[in-house]
Amino acid sequence: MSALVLFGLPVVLITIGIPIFLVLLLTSIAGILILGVGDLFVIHTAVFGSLDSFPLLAVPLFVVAGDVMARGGIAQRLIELILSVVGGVRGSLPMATILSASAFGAMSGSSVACVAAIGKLTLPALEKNGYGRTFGVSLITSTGVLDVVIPPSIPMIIYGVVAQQSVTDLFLAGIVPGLIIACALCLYVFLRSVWMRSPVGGKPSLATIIPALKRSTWAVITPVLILGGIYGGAFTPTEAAGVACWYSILISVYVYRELTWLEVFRITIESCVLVAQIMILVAAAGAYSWLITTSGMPAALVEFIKGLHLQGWSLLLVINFVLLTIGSVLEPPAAILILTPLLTPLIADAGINPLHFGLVITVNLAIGMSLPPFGLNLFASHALFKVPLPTLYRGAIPFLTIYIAILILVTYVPAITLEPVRWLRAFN
Amino acid sequence: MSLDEPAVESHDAQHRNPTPPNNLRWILRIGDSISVSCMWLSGAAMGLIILICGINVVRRYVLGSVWSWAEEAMLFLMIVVVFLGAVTVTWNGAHLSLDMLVNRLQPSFRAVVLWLGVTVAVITLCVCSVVSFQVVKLLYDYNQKSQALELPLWMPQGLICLGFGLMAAMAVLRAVLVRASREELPIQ
Repeated sequence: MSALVLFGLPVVLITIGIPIFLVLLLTSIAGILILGVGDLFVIHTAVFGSLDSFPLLAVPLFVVAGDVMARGGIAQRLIELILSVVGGVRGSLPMATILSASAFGAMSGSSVACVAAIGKLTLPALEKNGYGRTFGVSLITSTGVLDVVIPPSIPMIIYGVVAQQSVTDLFLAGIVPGLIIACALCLYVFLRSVWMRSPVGGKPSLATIIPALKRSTWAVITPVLILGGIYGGAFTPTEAAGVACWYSILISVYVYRELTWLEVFRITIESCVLVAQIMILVAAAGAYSWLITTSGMPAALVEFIKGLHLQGWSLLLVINFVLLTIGSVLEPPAAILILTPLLTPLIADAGINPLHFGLVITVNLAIGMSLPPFGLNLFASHALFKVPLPTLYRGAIPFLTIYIAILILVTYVPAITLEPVRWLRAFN
Repeated sequence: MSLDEPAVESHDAQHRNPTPPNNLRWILRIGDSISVSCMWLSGAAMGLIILICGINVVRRYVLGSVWSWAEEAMLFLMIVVVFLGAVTVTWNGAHLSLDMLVNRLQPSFRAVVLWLGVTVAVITLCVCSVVSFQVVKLLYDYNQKSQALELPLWMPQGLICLGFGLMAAMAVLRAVLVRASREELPIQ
């Protein structure tokens, strides 16, 4: 009966298109009434309690900061600088696209915003240089993964809060996987460009780099300020998000003069829509998470999995498959909020480091956003660039192959995620 | 860019509400007014969070002291952002959901599923609002206050009750509009 209420009901309700936060609330109400595990008052206290978390404040602040950067000229200048620096080799333009997505990822936490911002600036250049619209859009769609994996990352913040892990450590753990993904993508586009005899970009010259550098000096400081502040111990992730907001607003208004204060307020208002969409899920998931824990389901699940005598590697394989599937239909925050309370007891029992598992979840769900047929980034690109979905599905295949290979690496070589954390802790 | 424009203009056309017949335009006006007001309040709260967070960081590094109440204030303001913002999201039908499968159903089945969705949404939100109200009433009766701000706790927690109630009202208004306009729009 418990399984039916806790898992069957949400699956049915999500499938018929009920908003996910309502599914979580209704399941909690049904669970309390049917399983008799508490009082309905718990719904209110759990909803309030789940939002009463200081690290979670980083989510709205990073959303606003990302929006201001994208619309205030910071992202644009950073991309222009990268385009001016990378050149002289085959595939320099797609490589610049990947590096731009990495840089954007180091400033914001929204994958769809990354696809939109990068695509708007690099797709015309990719098409003009003969890379083809399908390849260009597929590349841009796939780089959305970088934004989720490279810190600061909203899914990492949410996982940190739900699994009670340090958000700073999660950000540290995300650096190497993010860089591996960026390097692997660069290698692929280089080899493809050699194979396809794509044009060699103009060699970078000081005449183009210096003006671009001058224009983008303040923009270059942004990721340094955010990540340097967090890793250097100067700011908590929430404070870094606040500083990122202020920095991007002041630069956009007074240095680049691309926004007025009225426009900043308007962007803040519009950002609240995305914030509300994500955070109402967090609030509702508090009630669902309480129900899952109180019902004793995680312990039962641990016993069940123990009964299957799965080894650590096979457990991770099964979890990866489940996460990829769910990640292709659900937004990462929703998937993390629903699955983390269930999966953390399992991985704790299997002796898997929760920090490492946080990255496994993040990489899985990030890939899921580009996974056909339902990946969110595919739909975003379809809407933004007017490329038919079947074309996008075909174009995504090489990138997905690379991502799956990296996912296996991240899953089965924990040192990739854990060593930077140990190293920086020792350094600090 | 003018602040007289609708507060949220970046949504897809599918998240716009349908145009009702003339005799029901007042529903659209009421819904829009509540939605825009909530969005403005939500934006103002977000602005205050940014302001307090920035000032507190500066105070820590320049003056060597922080506002002890800042953390609590920002968390309460986040509740304003989330629960009033969610009212606008409900009015726009933009909550995160998996509607791809529903959109592939035959129109008659889809209508049944969509109306089932509205019923589920309204019942769930009403139950949550009533439950929240009971908790908030207790907090009010016992005059419970927050630790740092010493703000009566019924105020921030009352926003949860208000938010759920307004979301339920918006879901009903939106359903009436869809029904009256006979358009096939996703109802959340």
